[in-house]
Amino acid sequence: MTPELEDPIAEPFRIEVVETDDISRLDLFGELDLATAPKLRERLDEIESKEPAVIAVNFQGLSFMDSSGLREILRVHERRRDSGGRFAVVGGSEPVDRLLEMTGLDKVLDLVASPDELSSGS
Amino acid sequence: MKVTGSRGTGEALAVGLRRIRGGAAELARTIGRDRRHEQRQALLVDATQVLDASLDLTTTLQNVAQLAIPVLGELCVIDLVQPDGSITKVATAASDNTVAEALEDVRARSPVDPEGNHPVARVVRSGHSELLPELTDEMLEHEIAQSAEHLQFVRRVRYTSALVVPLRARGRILGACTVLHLRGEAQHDSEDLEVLEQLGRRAAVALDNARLHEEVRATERAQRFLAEATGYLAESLEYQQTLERVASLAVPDLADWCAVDLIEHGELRRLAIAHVDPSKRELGWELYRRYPPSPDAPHGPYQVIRTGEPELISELPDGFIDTVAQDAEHLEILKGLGICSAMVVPLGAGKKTLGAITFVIADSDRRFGSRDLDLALELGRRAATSVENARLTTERTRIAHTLQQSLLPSRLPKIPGCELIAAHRASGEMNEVGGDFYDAFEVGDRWSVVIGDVCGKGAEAAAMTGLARHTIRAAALDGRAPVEVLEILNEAILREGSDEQFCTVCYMTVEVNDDSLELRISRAGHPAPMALRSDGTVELLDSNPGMLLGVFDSPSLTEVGASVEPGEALIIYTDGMTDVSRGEKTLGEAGLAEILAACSGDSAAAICACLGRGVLKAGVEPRDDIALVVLRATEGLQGGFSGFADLTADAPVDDRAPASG
Repeated sequence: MTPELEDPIAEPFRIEVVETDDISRLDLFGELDLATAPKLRERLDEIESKEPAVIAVNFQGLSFMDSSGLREILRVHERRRDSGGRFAVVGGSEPVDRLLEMTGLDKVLDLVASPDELSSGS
Repeated sequence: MKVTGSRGTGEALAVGLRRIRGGAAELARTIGRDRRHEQRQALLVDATQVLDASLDLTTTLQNVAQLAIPVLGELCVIDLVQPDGSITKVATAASDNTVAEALEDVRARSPVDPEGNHPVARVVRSGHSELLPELTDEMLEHEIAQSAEHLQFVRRVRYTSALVVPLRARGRILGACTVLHLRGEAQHDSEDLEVLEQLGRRAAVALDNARLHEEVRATERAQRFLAEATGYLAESLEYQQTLERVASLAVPDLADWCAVDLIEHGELRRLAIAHVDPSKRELGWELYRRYPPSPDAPHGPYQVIRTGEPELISELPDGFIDTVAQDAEHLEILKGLGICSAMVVPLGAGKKTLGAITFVIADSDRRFGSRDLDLALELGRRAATSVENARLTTERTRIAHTLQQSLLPSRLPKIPGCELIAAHRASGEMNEVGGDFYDAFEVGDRWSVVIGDVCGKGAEAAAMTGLARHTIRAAALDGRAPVEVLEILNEAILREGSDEQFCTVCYMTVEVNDDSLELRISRAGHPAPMALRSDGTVELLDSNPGMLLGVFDSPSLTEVGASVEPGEALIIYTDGMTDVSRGEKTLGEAGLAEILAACSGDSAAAICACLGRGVLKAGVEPRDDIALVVLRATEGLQGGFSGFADLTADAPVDDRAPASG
């Protein structure tokens, strides 16, 4: 259903922020690892400070993610839980889906299959 | 007496005679003048030849001085202006060699004061020639003599007349050329001046060219030296060796001696002494041992390190050695070395001064100048950076190694009927401790084998691995089942770890039965163990993946059983292994399973080597640390050993020898 997004050359990590209504969605591309995770944290902190109703991280464009990425996801997951906001992740990238499954986070995170499924209010 | 004839005739005769005599003298004078004129022209022709002949500075100037004798005088002196403004005599020529030598002596001790009234100083300042056809004693005393000794000399040889012309090229006054008549031989005139001025102009151009040429050569030499030195500095982290090489590089081109001192444990230690002559080098070390530099000395390495400022002593003043020598014997030895010029620069990186480099010229005409100092300073900077890097890296690596060693088990238990091999490979950065851990220990009649991965690197992650291993051991030894062990670990991490810390773990108990190994496995968010079956297939010991530990209060965890038949093997690993990139893709679980399937399962060591080769193909750099544990049931469940191995791309095939037992 979701397209295989594997680039012929390792794509540099980048974040595209899409803000609609109360939803701030961060579309991630490339590889999320020890080197690039700090960038994600920076943007997440930025977005968080604006206190949108929903923060979503979209993994569809990621070709790789490891525990450093998980750390950022868990961090924002917990902060949002404490502050009462919603945090969701959009799956659909094979390596990320596998990682979420292996770590059991697919059962814990608010995981949706596509950005369309995000909507204001849980 | 009355001569017959008229008085007029006698007079006329006298007048006539006078006229003839006068005419003769006049004629003689005319002829003389003409000859001198020819001689001068010849001089200028010779000058052209001489000046074109050599580009060597000293030779050129000596030749010019020689040219002026004897046509223009009996003594010729060429003075040059030094970069620091002082005036130095660089060439002397005289019809009488003893005069030349005597002047050398005198001038060495009584140099011309550039601010004073000496004609050379005046000419250098004004840029105008001076014709002094008659040197009075007053002039000798008040203008020319620079000291009593000098006055004595100029009186003794009887300075009679002088010509002083500037040496000017490209608008700059490089020095002056002086020609003197001695012993009342003759007096200079304006024609002489003209000739000398011409000679001076040509000489100045030649001098300028020679200097430019030398500057270019010196710059090239300096660049080459710096490049080579930097090359050495970058090559090795062994800075002792490197500094020795750099010091030897400096001799003999830059200096005759070079010494490098470093501050170690608050004290200055000489790391290197260089001299082209090994016996001199030995002498240098002897001197250092017997008379180490004094911390209070106003000059030298300690002073330079204290102030961070370099020292340049272009020309060692008289008596300097006396202030430096620590005793009479030291003084003797130092004097014997013939040191004439010295530089000490800080070995400095940024604000820190790590030591000093000393350069010395001995028994030579060379002197250190500002350009040499610049080069030396640059060398000091680059060397310091290199030492700093080497030290930091060495220290960090040492700490990391030590830490890592203490966090991983130093011994593995022997499980009867089993081969147990553990391997750990830190990723590229040698000085960051990773978060991978593994352990294997006896619990009653069973064994526990575990592998885990704490998120992150560095001290925090390292501390967490320690916590994890010990918590697991304690819980296991307490008789807890696998799921409980992990739950206890989860609580410990939530309690002790920072908010952001979590880890994945795969824990199993191993029971050795008569005909197989029985395992109970529980994993928390960790990659699944893989079994290499007798038929060569790879089975994923899947089941509930569980959940990361240290994040949630009640992670859902389960336990699954598995068995390993004799000849079969099981591997557990950390995700550094599967995260290895393969071009644009990562190896992944499926990729690893493929590699494992292709391994011959003859021994745990062979499997380990096979995986190493397969995963770490040439050019592939893992993103993260890799840990691997291989457990193999021996045929007939006999014997067995345990040990550590390396994971390398070029492990030999069928390596049965364990690295350590």
